[in-house]
Amino acid sequence: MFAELNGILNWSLDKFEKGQCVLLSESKTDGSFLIHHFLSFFLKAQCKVCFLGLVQSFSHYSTVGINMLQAREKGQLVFFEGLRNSLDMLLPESDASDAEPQPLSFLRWPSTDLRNLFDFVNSSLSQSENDMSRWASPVLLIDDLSVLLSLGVNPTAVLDFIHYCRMAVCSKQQGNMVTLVHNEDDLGDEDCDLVLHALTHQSSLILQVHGLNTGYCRDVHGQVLIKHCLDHDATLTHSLTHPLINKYTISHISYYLKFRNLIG
Amino acid sequence: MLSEVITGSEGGEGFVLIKDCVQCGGRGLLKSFIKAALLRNETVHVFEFEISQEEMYSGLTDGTSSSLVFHNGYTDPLNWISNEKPFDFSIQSIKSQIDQSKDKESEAKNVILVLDSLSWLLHHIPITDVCQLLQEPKRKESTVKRIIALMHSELHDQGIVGSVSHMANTVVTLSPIPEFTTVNWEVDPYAIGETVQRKKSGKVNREEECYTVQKDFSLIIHHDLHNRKQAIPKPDNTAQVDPAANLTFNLRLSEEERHAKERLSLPFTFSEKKKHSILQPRPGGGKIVYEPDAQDDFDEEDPDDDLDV
Amino acid sequence: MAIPVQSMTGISNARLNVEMNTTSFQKKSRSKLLSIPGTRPSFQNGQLLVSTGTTSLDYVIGGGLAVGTLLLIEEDVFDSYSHMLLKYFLAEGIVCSHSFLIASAGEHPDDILQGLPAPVLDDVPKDEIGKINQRRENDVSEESQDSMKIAWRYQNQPKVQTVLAASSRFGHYYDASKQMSAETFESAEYYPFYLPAEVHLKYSVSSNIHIGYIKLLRFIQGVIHKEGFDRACPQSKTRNILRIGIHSLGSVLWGDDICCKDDPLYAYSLTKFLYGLRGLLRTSLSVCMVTVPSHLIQNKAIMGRVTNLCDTVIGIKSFNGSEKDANDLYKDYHGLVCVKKIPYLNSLICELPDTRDLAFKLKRKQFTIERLHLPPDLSDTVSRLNKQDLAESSKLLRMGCGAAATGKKHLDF
Repeated sequence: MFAELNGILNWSLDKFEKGQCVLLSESKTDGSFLIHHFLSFFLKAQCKVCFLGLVQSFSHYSTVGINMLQAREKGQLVFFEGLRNSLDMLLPESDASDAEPQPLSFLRWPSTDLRNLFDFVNSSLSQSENDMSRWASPVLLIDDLSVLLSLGVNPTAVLDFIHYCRMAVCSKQQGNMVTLVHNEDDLGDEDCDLVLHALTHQSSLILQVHGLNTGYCRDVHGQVLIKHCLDHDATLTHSLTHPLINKYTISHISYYLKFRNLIG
Repeated sequence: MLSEVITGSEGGEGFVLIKDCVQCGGRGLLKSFIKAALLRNETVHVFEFEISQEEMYSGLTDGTSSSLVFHNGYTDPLNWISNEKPFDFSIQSIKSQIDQSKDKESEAKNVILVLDSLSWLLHHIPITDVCQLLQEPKRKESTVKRIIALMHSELHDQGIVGSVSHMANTVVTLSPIPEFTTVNWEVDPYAIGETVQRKKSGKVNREEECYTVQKDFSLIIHHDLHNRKQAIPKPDNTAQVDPAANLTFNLRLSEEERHAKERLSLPFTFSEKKKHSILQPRPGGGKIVYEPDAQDDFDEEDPDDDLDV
Repeated sequence: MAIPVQSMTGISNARLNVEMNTTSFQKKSRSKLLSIPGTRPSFQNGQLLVSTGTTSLDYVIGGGLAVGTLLLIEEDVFDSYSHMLLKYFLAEGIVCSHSFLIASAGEHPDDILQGLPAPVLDDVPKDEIGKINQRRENDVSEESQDSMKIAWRYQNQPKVQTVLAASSRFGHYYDASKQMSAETFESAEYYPFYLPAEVHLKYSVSSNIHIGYIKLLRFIQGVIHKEGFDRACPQSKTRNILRIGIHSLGSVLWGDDICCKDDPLYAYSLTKFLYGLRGLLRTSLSVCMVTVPSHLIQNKAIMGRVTNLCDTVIGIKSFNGSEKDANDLYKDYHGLVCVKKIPYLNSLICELPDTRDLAFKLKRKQFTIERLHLPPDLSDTVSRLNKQDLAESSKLLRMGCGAAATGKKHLDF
């Protein structure tokens, strides 16, 4: 995790806001470092975590950040590896429909909604008495939501899925939810725009990662814009740009701060 | 005009549509509509699809107010969790839900219907059905006197936004405050609301206002948006001040100061010795000695011969 | 704004800064690596790399292609250079005695195999580089007597080298004019997939994926499981790499309609296939190079999604038959190369190239990628106007490459 980012968000391992829906959006650069940040953060904060890793393999996430194997064995983490599970759905062994509902069943029956995926999330995060005493509030991480759109899921179905996750995780259990959405604004991907806009309305904290307007640069990867949407109307916007990590200093991210209080 | 619409003193009838955008959400405004109606002791039916009951109630009531009826479309609208008889949020069922609660009160009271948000309905119900619901206040026998709906305009096609706006008697379109208005407001305005109201007589009123929703959901209107907008560039044009006047620093140097400045060695100017040691020139090598020939065309003005002269 | 925090003075401040800058992310490297011919570990993240068969391309994408990843080449209009890159990729597999799989819907895989370029086995290029280095050293010693007055710090800087090459040798060079001899590839393990032979007559669609894609996915899965490229089940026999080359994926011949229509019937067919393919690659000792006729894909949003689902994406634009061919600026090159995506693998960051403005040229023996630069103007009568034109046109092209500024508003850094 990046201590600086925690400082800006005013979060610490023993004190952070609960019931938040956090939206990470990336455009023209890679925003996955934020996923790694939040993953490490919540695992260290002893939260019960459900991670839908649709883009990379388990070993990738585990190598970059915190040791996930340990967390998984302890029962703290439920990891769903989309890449590994997709093949069983795309290339079914037999034509007979399985009795067991699969989280990725939409790959095989394209008109279905994401109910099975939600059931998976809900059952992994619903805590027993034992869990309650061991782990702090539940957390759902999704990397990244746009993959679902690429796999042919209707944007309305994605929004329904998010709606239910938000209801179950944020409202009911006072947990947190972190979602990454990849969006290139100049490609005119309407489905992706729709999902991003709807999520912007629903999220209470938004971190936008954007490549530099001025073009490619080797040492500066992009900028991050942080928006707090407090309660209903008062929107507090911090804007900060951060040059991301030089080539050899992997353990360092420095931020150049530019605070702009648009609306108090 | 916005506050008149909220209090209902001017054209409160019919269908009021709030169109918000990604930069500024309209839920605060919607809640101030609800608050105002509750203060008037009217019955409000809220169909909520986007936030939980607690979030909706926070700041509005202490939860006991009977005139606010909450219809929960947030927790399980598609029946993914419970396996009971699926409840569809079709237009018929919305109507019957309102009628049911009316029977309980056993008095013919007009109700206000709040849809938060219309976007969810439009994603799940055919638009013709939605529009029929929105026609409800216009029917004489209907108990629904007023519909207030929030819509996220980016989430729909232009055509759908247009058709729904066409149904409305009053449309409030929210847009963010442009950045150049860096005036010292007493309270920072939240957004610009453009209110367009269609009267039965066919008259159309239009007004643009800046507003802020306060903690108790009362509204502050910044009436003088336009005056402010125009007032901003003026000070720059009129005041022709000498830039060198009233400086906090010195622009000129005294003789003594100049000497001191010249004595100062600037960074990156090194002594010959240091330059030498950095560069470490190697011994040996040649030297170019050039003796111009008689034929040489040497131009004084362009010694390097690189100008187009 | 651009002052780094480290420049503050004072001990307490300095200590605070140290704390502020620490993150819990540590660079990890895998200690145990398989040793397979034709592979080497990455300096960056410890990934096992193989060469793409084009040394300068390896350099551009961060040393090589990581095993288990997917490289996408956006074809040039005539598919001449992208096809060549695919051939180099396969030829490199033969030279390193990797197994390989060729999938195609147009040209028969056997024909592709026949047309692979012959490797240049004597190490001429290495010697040449050595010579260049030596010469450069001599140059420096000669010139250093001429001291610079103002820019004296640049005096001992080495000359700029435009050809991209890594310091150590990895991968081979190929002679595009000669074909690989039959004996060379006869011994190699080779799995062909020719779509017309697999699917008869009418193409159909199952669960919104074209049947051709399903067949290919099944075929690759079968090869990986049967021939022991699976990473999950370690076998006692020697491990080898499977190279997969897929030619012109997404074209009409595969039964897909994304090239013909702006609003295709099955817009998610290709992306679903790529997702499944990536899932297969991640769990096996294989690498894949796919070429896609991106210039034909009508809906740019689909191409954006495809890019998002691949690990590495390289765009090729050739000057063949375009008006850019005539432009003075590009007379040294045969086309442009654009790095669209570099993967982040087992690491928080990736090896970024110095510049994204790259160009390629094809010499008799090899295909090289170089930094794009303006040629020196050697003509006697220099016209200023002309130079501006060149600069303008280069700007235009950079826009096409996507490396230049996207916003016109302001400079951030």
